[in-house]
Amino acid sequence: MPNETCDHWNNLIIDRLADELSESDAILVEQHLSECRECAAKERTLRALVDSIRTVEEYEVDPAMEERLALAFRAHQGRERLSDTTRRSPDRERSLFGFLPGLLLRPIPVYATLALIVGACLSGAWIERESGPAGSETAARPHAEGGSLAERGDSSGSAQRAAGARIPRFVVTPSDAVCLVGVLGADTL
Amino acid sequence: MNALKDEGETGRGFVNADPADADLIQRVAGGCEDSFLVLFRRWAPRLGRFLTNATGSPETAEDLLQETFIRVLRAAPDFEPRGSAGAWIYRIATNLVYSHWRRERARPTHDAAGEEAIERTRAPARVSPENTRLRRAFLQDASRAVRRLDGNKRMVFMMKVDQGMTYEEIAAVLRCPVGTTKSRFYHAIRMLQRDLSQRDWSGAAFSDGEIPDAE
Repeated sequence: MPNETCDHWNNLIIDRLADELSESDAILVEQHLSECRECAAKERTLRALVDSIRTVEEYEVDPAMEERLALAFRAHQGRERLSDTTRRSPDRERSLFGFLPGLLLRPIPVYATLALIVGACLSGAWIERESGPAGSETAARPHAEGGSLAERGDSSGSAQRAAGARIPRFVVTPSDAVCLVGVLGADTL
Repeated sequence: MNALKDEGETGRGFVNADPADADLIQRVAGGCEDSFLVLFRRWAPRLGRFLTNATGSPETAEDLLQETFIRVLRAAPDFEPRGSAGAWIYRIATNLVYSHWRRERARPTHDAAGEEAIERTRAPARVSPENTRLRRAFLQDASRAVRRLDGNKRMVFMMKVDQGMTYEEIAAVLRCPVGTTKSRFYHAIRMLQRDLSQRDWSGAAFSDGEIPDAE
């Protein structure tokens, strides 16, 4: 075969490499390769090139990878469940206590935060009770009743009641309530 | 020549080999661990081979294989059941290979993966030192020439000659027209031929054991 037609044969050799050659063309290519040294060299180089990239024929899968993927699957499913539970749904939006199921799945730091806030509320209420309205009321009590309890040195319960001291109770201030609702709301909605 | 044709599962049509794969992916999306592991066992060997040959490094291939299945897990809810499950899985793997190639191009200081690949390439049993030297030089040149191809041509070349995919299957994986995959393959081969034609390799000892007359 003359060399000027080798471009045509080269295309057929590429088709052969791609396994896209008809049977009749395959026979013609075989015949040409047996006659043309140049095309035979090209074909041989291509074959060697393919061999050079095919460094593995069989891939051995590491059994540990399957275990790692099983763990990854479980972790993924756990995250999915959590996000499903905490995702806002129309039913939960309508429900006043819709955040409660999500609250049960909160991680420990959220409970710790809640405990801190509740603790702060209680201590705030205690301070308010100690130095708040009851004290000022006692101080403002008219002298007609014989002065303040401190002045009289009378600390008995009956005397305290007689002096009009209030029964202690816990008070949650508006700022405490805002904190509490903020944490619950941001985390569960 | 197509040495890939008689390789059973990895021969033609394997991308659409089993319609049950689509069911498996849907079950994975529904939270079925067994389906995920069946899918892994079914696809890991052929993807592992593809990734090893595409990256030239078994370690990198292992990382990419694991990442492929983690992405399969995450993307399973978005799988379109009417599409080909094989093409979908391959697309995930090829995206990882493209990223790897980009990183590889960004730091071309040492061709360690290429060296490893050359070491693993099958050598004929009885060859002269001269043949061995020439063979090694050929493998280095071939590896460099393949790496010089742009990503799309290199991917089509790998899928065609290593995985034995049809142009239609490659087009489905890469989401491009069939004609584009054909022209990329032709261009890739011609560029490789041009690169390798600068030297006479007729004396190199190739893996088929044929040792033609030395230069």
